[in-house]
Amino acid sequence: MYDESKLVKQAIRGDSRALSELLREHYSFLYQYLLKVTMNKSRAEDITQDTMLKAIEKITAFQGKSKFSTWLIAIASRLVIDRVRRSEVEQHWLKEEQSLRAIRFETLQSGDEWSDALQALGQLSSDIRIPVLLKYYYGYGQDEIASMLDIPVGTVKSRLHNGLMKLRKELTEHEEA
Amino acid sequence: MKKRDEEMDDQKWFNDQFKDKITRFDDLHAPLIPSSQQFDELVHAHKQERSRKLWKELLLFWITACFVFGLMLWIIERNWVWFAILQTIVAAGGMVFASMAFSRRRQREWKS
Repeated sequence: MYDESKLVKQAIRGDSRALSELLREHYSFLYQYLLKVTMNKSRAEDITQDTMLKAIEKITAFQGKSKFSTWLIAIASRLVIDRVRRSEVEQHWLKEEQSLRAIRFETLQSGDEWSDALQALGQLSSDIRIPVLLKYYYGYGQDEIASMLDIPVGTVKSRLHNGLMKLRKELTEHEEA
Repeated sequence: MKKRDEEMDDQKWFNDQFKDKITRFDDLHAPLIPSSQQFDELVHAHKQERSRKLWKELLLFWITACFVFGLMLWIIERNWVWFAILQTIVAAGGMVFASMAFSRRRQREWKS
């Protein structure tokens, strides 16, 4: 039977098998989180891989105070933010537009609808989308998000406020159109 | 109390508008999970690579330390005054570097 706390303890002590089992168990969760954050399949795959490698390197520093999934999300979010900071603003905006179009096309091709809600979420910049998803979709508290992203709680609050305001505005505009 | 109500309203609004749609999006884009063996190989290979890198760094550190130590012994033997000057410069440089690194870190914390 899958026992996360036992596996975490073994992984911290250096058990490679336990660590690989933990990573496999969280692979899907991590990829799906990153896909929502990046709205780009190849980037989500890349960062999932990088997050796993970082987790292998840093597992001995993991104290087990939070859930393993929370720790992975924190690593992944910081990697996303670093990548966004490194790319130029204008270029980044263009790439985000293209990615959003591509994932929209793929979703429609699979026979599902691309709702206004997903479009509105995709149009948020990643520094706002990340706290919005963590708070309202994954249910993390503002303090937890602040420590995960290494930013002050005040910044989290303002990003959440701005994020919801933008989402409301986008959805209202779509309804009126 | 009012703030708490507002937060609950926001959460309810998000659930109504987004929750199901995002869950469907997740289900639609569920990835193919690699086999256990592939994960084992990834962990093993990365741990080995990491350990090789650490050994290399340790070797480089010892080589540099031996070189610096040898240089210092050579200078002591040739001229005490130059040794003292060099030690002062190195100590001052170290302090400047440490204070700059510390202030940069504080600035980054403030900005974030």
